[in-house]
Amino acid sequence: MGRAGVGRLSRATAARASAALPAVLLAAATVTWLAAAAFGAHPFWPSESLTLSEAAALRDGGEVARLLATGVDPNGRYSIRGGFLYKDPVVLTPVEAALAADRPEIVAILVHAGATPSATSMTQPPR
Amino acid sequence: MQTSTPFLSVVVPALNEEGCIGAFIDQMRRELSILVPSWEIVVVDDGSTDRTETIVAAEARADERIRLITRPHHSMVAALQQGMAAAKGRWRFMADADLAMPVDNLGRFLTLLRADHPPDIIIGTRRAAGSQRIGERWWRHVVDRVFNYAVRALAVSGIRDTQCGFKMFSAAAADAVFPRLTITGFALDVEMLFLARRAGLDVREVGIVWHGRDDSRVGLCRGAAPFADVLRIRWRWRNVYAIWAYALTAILAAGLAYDLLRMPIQVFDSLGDILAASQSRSLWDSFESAFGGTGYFRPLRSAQIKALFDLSSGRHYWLVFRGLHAALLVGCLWLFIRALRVKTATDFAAAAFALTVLTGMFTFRGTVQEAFPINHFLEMLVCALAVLNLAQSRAGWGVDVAVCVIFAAAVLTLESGLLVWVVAFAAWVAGMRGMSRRGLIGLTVLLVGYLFVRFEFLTSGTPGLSERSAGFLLSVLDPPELQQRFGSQPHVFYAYNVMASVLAVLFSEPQSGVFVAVRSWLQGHVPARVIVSVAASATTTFLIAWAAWHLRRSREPLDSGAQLLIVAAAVLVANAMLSYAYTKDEIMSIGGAFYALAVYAAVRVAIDRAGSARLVACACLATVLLVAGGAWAVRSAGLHHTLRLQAFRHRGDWAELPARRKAEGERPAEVNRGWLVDALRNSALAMPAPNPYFYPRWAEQVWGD
Repeated sequence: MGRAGVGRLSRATAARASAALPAVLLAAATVTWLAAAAFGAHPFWPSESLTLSEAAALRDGGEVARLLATGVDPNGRYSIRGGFLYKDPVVLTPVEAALAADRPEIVAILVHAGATPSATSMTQPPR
Repeated sequence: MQTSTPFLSVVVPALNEEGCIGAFIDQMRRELSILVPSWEIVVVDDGSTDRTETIVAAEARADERIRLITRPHHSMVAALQQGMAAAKGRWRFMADADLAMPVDNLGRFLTLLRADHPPDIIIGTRRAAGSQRIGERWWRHVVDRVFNYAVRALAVSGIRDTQCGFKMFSAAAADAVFPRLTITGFALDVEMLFLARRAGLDVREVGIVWHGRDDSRVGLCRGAAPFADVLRIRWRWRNVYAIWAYALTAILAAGLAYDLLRMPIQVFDSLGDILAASQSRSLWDSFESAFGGTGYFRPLRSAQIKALFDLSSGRHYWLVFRGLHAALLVGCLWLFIRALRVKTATDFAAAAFALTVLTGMFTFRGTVQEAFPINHFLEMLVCALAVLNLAQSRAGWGVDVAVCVIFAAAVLTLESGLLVWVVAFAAWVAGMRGMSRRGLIGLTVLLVGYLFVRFEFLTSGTPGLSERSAGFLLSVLDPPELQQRFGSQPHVFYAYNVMASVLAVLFSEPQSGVFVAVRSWLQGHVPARVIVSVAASATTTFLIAWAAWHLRRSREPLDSGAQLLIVAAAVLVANAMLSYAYTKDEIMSIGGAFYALAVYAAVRVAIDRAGSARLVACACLATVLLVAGGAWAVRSAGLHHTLRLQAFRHRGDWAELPARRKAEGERPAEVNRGWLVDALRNSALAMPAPNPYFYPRWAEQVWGD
């Protein structure tokens, strides 16, 4: 093969590499996170343990309902880590947390499960 | 000495054939003199220890058209290779000297050469119209059939008799096949046909009369060796680029299937159908319930939901419904990559690029993220890709029937199933060999029947303006607004929808009928995801247009890339016309997937052109491919983000269901089937879904809704 032939081959190879590289990198990333998931790491599906009030503050209706189904008291007061709702950690009832996050549908879930919102929690902001 | 190119060369490998070689030459000479204008017989003596060489040498001295090649004994394949290399004819006929096939059968081969488009290879077969097997022992017939089933399953599909020793090759086909043969044993015919298929050569069968011989090369004593040879052929000639392409597809499919299997069944547009299935008495009841509705005619949709519900056995709802969803996704990606027919490094690179386009396209996201509770849009995509694959195969009754069954199933499930007919028609127009005129006529009869039943017999009609909200220019209009603006002239709105659907696939803008990029720009902030989407789509659309310009002079038969471009264009336009009533991302899912097929064809052209381009042009092209491919890969990765967000939403919907129903008033079906609603809800709540609060902030910027 002459120099021109080698040049053509290398140019085509460069074009092929450019076309395939993004997909190959994507596949490599997929293999990595699937392997991590196989060992329980779930990088795309992290599972963070939340209190009932934290779940309400983070608008996580699914987690609220799951915790209620496990028997967690909907009228209890639970801690909420700093940054979730306010900058500092706070202790609130789930209804107070849902109201503070402006999520009426979460309040409805809690009330349906037996939460009894106090007059203050319905009319005043928690802090 | 014969110097001009003869019409036909007969190549005969001979090993100790003194009993029949003389008769063979005599009979063949007489037949050839009648049938063809010019000919030669090339006998390759593979180290015979009897008088074979002497007999042939005498014939060669008497007639210059008969040539003898002698060689030390090695193998039949080596003798064939030497004979084919020495042959000069435009057509080359490989024959056994044992007269198992009467020489007057040669005319049957020559008949096929008179066609407008003669095949590259014609093989004699003992299992086709006009064939006759005389004096064959029963056990040989059994061994022959078992071996043929193995060959068809593993190496050369569709050929009913690979082992007949009489085959005719064009000079080009012989040059392409014989030098590459490696198998020295019984399965050399299989390797011959395998390589021919791999080279894209047209192989046809012709029935012959065949006399069985007790001293033939076939025997039970050969045991498993021929079968092992078939496996050896598959391994030796394995297509590494196709293997890499399938591996890439499997990885991407596994990642997406993982996401789907972590997603609960959805509530909206799904629970009602599951409850209806639970109340239906039988599959037929579910099927029949779709008759008489207005706007839609989808009897098989209800029947499928009923079938899966029954399969769940009262417990495994998530597994069955989401399992089918994941299986459809895997099937879709498999059919997509199969349709690309990856053979070379260039094909692999283009296929990798096209995969990111398919999975990164917003129509695909729309297709995959929801299920009602079966993802019927994904089903339609699978049907369309299945028909494309069939159209690329060899034509036959089986293909025709399969295409008709797929069309009937698709069109009775969803209106988008009509696109299966468009795929078949466009494939036939583009010259894909699997789509026969007979099959297309059958499909068209079914299409006419469907239209008659729908519009004349059942008067199901079509969706109107009051069906649902729809995007228009910069906003989404509710049904009353649509009635007010377009009630008197709905065709204007319909034309907008068709145009918007085409543009959406080509440029990712507008989406669901709304020009999101323009609206964002007017609002003073264009999100990164919009920029990435529009830039990636515009670049690949330009690439397709450029490739179509270069392929416009393709002559019959069309290049496979040109065929894909034709089919993709037809499907895109037809898909857009079908979505005239309202624009919705998932409705264009088939158009989006065929756009990715067109991208495959375009990238192949780009890589081919890069090889002969100047350095600067090549660098520009490579950069464009890298940047555009990168943008599509980013969009493709976003599908994972969409799916986990969707899982979070579905879980939240189930959580809210009891309180919402109490507020809105419970429906009788949900009260009667409270146990089912509870089972589905508990299953959904038990599945952890990551809270979007924990997603990185850039994810929403790049991939958000």
